[in-house]
Amino acid sequence: MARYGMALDYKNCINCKACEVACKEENGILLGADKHRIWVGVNDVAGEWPNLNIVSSSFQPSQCQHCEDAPCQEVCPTQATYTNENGVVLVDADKCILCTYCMEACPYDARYIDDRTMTVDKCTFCTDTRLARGETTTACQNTCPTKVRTFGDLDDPESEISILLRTREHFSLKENLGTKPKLFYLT
Amino acid sequence: MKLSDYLPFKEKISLGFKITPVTLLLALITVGLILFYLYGVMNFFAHGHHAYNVTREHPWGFLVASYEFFVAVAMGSIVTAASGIFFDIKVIKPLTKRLLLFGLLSLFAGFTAFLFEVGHPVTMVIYTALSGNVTSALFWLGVFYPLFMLFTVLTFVSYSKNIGPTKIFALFAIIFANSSVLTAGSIFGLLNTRLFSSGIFYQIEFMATAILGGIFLLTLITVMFKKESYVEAVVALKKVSIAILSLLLIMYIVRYLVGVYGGVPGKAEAIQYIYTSKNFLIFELGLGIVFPLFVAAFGSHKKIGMFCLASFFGLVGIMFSRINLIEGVQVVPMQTMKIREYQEVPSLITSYVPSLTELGIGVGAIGVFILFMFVADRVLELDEAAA
Repeated sequence: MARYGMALDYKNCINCKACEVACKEENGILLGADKHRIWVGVNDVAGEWPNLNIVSSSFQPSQCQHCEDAPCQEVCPTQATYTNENGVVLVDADKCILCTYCMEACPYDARYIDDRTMTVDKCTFCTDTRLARGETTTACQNTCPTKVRTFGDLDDPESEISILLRTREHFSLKENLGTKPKLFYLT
Repeated sequence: MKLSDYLPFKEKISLGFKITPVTLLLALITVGLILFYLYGVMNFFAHGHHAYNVTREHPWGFLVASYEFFVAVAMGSIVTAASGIFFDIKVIKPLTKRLLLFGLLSLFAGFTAFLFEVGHPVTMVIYTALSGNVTSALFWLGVFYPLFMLFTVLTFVSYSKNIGPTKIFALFAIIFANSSVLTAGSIFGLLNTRLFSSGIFYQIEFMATAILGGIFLLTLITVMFKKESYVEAVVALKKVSIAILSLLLIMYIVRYLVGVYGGVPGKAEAIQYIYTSKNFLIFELGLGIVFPLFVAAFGSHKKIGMFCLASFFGLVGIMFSRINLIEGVQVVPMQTMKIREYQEVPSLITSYVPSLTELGIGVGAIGVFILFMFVADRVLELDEAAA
């Protein structure tokens, strides 16, 4: 039993999108711009020329936040969305009725429809692929050339992620909604 | 045990009708709508959900709006009729059976749309029963609607054949009708990520427009089926509609003021966008509320001709209120940090136009509803005098 989470040192991101490719390759995600479990957002330069705020431009990788109080899980009428023993929010495709209520409820836009199974799909922290094989990293973390992502057990005080969160300032997305996300952005 | 022991069949059943320019026009419109529905269904079976214009950021489309429209009309019709039974309202008695049955048929018409919205309806039935999630409003909708239907059927049979505790059935029909519509509103109201609908507005709006839908449908039926005995009830309910329409108008104004001047990010943009759209200003507000309110308040208090026209536009307005809800809920995308994604310049407004398939199923279901009503009128004795 663990409580998995991920820390993102997002200022290191160079937008190479290797994480997106690795995720698609490892988890067999369909090709196409709207079929993705993870993504890299781009913050454009703010302001108007000549008063441009150059440092406002940044790359911001993101994905399902694996919330402790997940709105998607709360609204799912058949409990197709559930949290496993490691705190990872998953979808049981057999129970999914494709009502897409979870897509409406997710504040992070982290879900999409898998056209092969016609069910809703999302990031699994590579639970049924890499973690099932005994690996300790996710595909996106493993491939990142600038070590943006650190995946690990939040309950283990000696894990790399716990040490990072103890020693670095960080924030989460849309904390005001009370979803208790387990993705942490290091500042 | 025969079916006729429970249902008030006519002694002589005939599906024919007198051909006049009006009935011919109605028949042609109905056939056209049914063909449109069949086109939509065939397209769905050929292409599945890919025939819809829904996207990752706009997963709910026209079929959800269509379903919400039909169930609102159903709730309004059935609550009006069941209240007539439970509270012994004499003026409603002549139309009780017809309103109960047409309400049920409206529910079925809604399901003919909803069936094609949910990706796996059979799985839905199985797993709602096996592993239903009590924190989900959609689960409770699956609980309340069958109970609502069950008690409406029991009320109809009991009232038509004078068997069983009619008043108790009617009371439960009222309770579950209200529960269903409140839950339908809560599907949107409980989404705290969608600020356009989050809160209590849509639960109350759904209840109010549902009752209005029932009144509007009754008025149309009275004129369509030339039921002089219903006129007294329509005149009485017209006064009720004035109160409901006024309340709705106030709710809309306050919502605009709070939404736009409150300036909450994500909410203000959505409300401003919807409240300045043609769909809202012309159809939902103008034709759906202001026009019926004007006619009901200032029109003839004894004749219902103009109110029939207002009722038609009122129903159109209710349909557009559902469309605007669906659009408003999703118009501001949940961008998170996806300021730009895959080099696509993002839009602050999510665009959605229903596909022909969605329109075929959603609008065509009106034709299915009219057909249901016509057959029911020809097969069953729905007028009080013959009960």
